[in-house]
Amino acid sequence: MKLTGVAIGWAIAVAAATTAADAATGINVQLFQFRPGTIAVNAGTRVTWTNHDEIEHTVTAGVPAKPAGGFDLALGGQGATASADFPTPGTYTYFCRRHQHMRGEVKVN
Amino acid sequence: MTASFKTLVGIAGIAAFVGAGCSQSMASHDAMAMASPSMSSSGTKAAALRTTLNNLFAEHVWLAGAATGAALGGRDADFKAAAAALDQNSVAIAKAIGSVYGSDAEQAFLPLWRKHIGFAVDYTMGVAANDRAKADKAVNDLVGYSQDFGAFLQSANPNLPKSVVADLVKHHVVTLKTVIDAQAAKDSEKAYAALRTAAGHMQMIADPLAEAIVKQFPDKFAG
Repeated sequence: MKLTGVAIGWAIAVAAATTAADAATGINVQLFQFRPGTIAVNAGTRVTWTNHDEIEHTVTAGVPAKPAGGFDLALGGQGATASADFPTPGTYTYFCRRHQHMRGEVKVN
Repeated sequence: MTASFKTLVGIAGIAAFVGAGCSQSMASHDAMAMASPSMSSSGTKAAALRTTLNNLFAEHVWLAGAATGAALGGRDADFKAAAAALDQNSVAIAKAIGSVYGSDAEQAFLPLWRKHIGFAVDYTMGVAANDRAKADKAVNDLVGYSQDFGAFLQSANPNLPKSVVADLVKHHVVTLKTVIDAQAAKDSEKAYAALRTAAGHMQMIADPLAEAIVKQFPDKFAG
């Protein structure tokens, strides 16, 4: 009985950790903003953006005045998703080419 | 170009969205609020929101018309002053949005709103320089912008369909374009008549926006 309780507790902990990890690698694009604007992930993580606006956005590496060229992902309307892998530690800024006030940052540890 | 641009404006959508009955009932509501100080606070808050948005959007048009008129008239100091006041109005509109949807939304709204003013300035400069390509590009940019603005408001409030908001913004563009064209032609009578029309049209944006916000947050505008 006690062991069962421990097992259930462990399963809940794993499930919670998985949910937290998923949340940490997902970025919502909503109301012409990247949310969260900055996320921290471990090297090797795949980050996914999900567009909730009914308009096209992009996820483009760099800043408008100086695109970095690392990635340039299209988010073609509401419900569209796009992902990028981040194998190397560093800070990666990005923006939307269509709405250049939209900025975000991925910090890779 | 003018004719083809106007065909892009969905008047039917505007009529369907605003609705004569809605406008009349809201107008009566306002009159009641002013006539009866003891009216419930929910009515007062909703009316205050609608009045604020109407004032800000109408002011936007008057100041935009002042700025374009000064620019086309070569009155540089006037233009700078009008443009500065227009930007203060933009900030105030963004704050009004932020008061409902939060500071992040306010920060996202302001550059988006300023963008259409930049396009209107581009159009004015194109007309002033008799540069059709520049003017046409500005019109196309404004049409594209209307989609962005519609998407923004729909994201903020599902009671505001993107296509309908976009049509309303296109109509705003058309009415202001008429003002600018008349100013460029130095037809003051037509320019001021068009300016009144353009300012009056903003009620068709402000009223539905206020109504949709109240519908979205009934608790915020009650009690």
